[in-house]
Amino acid sequence: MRSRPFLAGSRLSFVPVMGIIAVVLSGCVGTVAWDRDILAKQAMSLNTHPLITALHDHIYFSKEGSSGGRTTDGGGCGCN
Amino acid sequence: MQLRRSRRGRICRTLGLLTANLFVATGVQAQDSNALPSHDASSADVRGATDDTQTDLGMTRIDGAILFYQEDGGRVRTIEPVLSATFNSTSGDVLSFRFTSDTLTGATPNGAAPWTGFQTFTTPAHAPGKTTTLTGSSGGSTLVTIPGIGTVVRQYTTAPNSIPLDTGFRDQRYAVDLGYSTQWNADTKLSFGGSASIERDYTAITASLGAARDFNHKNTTVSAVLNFEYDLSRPYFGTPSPFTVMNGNPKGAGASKEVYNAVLGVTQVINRRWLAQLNYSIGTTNGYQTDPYRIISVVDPVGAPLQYLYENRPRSRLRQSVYLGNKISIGPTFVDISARYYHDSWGINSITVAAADRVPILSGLYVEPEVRYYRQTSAYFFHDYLLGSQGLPTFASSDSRLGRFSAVTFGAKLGLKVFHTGEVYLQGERYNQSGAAHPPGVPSGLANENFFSGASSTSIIAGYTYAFF
Amino acid sequence: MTKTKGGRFMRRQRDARADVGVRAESIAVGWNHAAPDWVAGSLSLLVGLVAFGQAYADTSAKPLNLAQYRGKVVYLDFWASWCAPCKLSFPYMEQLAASYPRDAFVVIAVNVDHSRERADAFLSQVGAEVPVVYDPKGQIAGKFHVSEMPTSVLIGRDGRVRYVHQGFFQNKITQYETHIQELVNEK
Repeated sequence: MRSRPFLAGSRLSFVPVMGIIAVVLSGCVGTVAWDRDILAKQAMSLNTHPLITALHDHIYFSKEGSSGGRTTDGGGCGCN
Repeated sequence: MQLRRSRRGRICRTLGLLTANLFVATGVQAQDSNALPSHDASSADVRGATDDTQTDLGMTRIDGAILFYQEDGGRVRTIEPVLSATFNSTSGDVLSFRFTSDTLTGATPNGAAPWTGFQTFTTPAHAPGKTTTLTGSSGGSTLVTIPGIGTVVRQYTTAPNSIPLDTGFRDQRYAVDLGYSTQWNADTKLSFGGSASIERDYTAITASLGAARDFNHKNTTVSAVLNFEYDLSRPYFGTPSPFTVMNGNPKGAGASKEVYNAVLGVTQVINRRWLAQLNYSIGTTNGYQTDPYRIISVVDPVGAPLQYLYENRPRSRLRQSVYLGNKISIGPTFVDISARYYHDSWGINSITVAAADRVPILSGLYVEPEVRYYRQTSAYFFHDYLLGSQGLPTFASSDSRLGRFSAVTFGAKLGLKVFHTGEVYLQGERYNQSGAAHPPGVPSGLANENFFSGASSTSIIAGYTYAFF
Repeated sequence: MTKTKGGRFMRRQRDARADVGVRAESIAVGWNHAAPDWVAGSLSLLVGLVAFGQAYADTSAKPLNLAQYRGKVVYLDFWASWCAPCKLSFPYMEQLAASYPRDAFVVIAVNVDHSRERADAFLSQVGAEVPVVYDPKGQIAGKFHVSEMPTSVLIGRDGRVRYVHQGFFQNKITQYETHIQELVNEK
């Protein structure tokens, strides 16, 4: 039995909705450049320990049927 | 300051209402209330005043870690050391190298269903001149010469009332990853990457291209990464034809597959303490995706095995996922909350929810407990076994990776800041997997068998990181 | 807290007075969207005035008085301890301060850290000797519309902003030099 396409199902119509929210929110939220002290911290990085992330991804990939989904750009001090 | 009655203003206010509680918790009320200079509990750690940032501008960073992974019940054990070096130029260019070694031993389910009696499996021996691991704790392999033909095959017998395991595996893998990223202009970053992973019977090569663009004074980052992967599978005995009977003869040639993948992401600073990321990922895989070592049992009406057939998986797969990640600073702690929804054309849908909280204990020492919940549905061609009385389906596999199960992971990480820019850490976690041990409608002889072949596991990672000019 | 829309607003206003530094927009977004804008505007102004007054009541923040530098070129640099390129820009600024006569050129480093201790630790780490002004609430940064860290504002002898350098790039140093030379050579 074939599963139905991704975006056709009502289950996943929130994907474009999330995209719209992201675009709209981007105009309403954020910080000024001089208030990025917390965001600049190492602990606020989206991937604080790249080796642990890679090793865990390897473990989960070997045990589960899903994979992937992350990037690590953005956030931080916003310098330069 | 005057408010403009613009449409955007109205939308902003409405959305602000919807998220007001979260703003209150993390933004407005957490704002510093008076003129005191220190605003968070860790600011008293003056020693780390400038070393707490995530940018390594102009520095070289060395990372090393080693993973010890052990599945319950004498199953797979992995020891995986990793070493990486990252060179950051003062203009924002980054060059990175990573080396991984992976030693895999232990028993793996061969795909056959459990039974009330002993089961014997015959598989090709290694090529002459290569050694085969012959001894194991239970169900060790023996080399047997087929009388009359003279072919040497490997046979092993598994105990009754247990998931049949093949103990004859030992694998060594080496991988190299390279990455380079450069600031194309003030707002745009380009990145390139490549990797090669080589083991005796499997080679995987990847190449990737990425771009990231900042908007709204770097409060918003939009990124796209394109990935290509080419995998070549060359089992030591060749590639078996799908649904042929398991035997000790040499099989066909190697087989390959290609993966094309794209990840589109938006990273958004919500407020001073909250960073959010939303990613959409889509990928197609075409080619040989079957596990050449796995079989599936064909059983009679009471569950006794009639034959063992090599499994067969579809040659194409479309995967999609949506990932939402958050990093939120609450008081002196840092909370990481993420969720991922995954769907693919094999019928597997999964949700993953993970949360971790980094809690500073002493100056430079923190503990970060984490929890992860995972649940997936089964692939449409997943079968615990096949009934001899029914015709063969187009595809079939009994691999627990494609079955329906849920898993909860509990873990904790301990980290200690050393030498200003360094850290040593220890991370341990326990992965508890549970699936349908007794699927409905099993033949009468298998009513008491446990069919779930996934294994819970324990893993420990010890590592360090250090940066210098 | 009452359940009427007025009641919800009143609680937020009390919090705003207590929490100096709350941006006026935050008050507006938390508010019932049916309220008229003139009320939002006036109250934003009220909060702004209160914040302004509180800042000057705070004795640890000395307001920046640029009038005293009229007739000199001012290199106003906005920096923070958490800003990685600032570790490179400080040696450059020290060099600048040393290579131009004091009666023609002055470097002022405006710190925007929330934590004074972290700012001072950074200064001792880089061995800074340029004058430092502390702007923990970001009022001076806001006045100059700082949109990137670090930012250097070049003010001419006439007291007007002439150039703004966003970010600090070592491969743009010659460009920075050209701007400074131009302003110093004026009048």
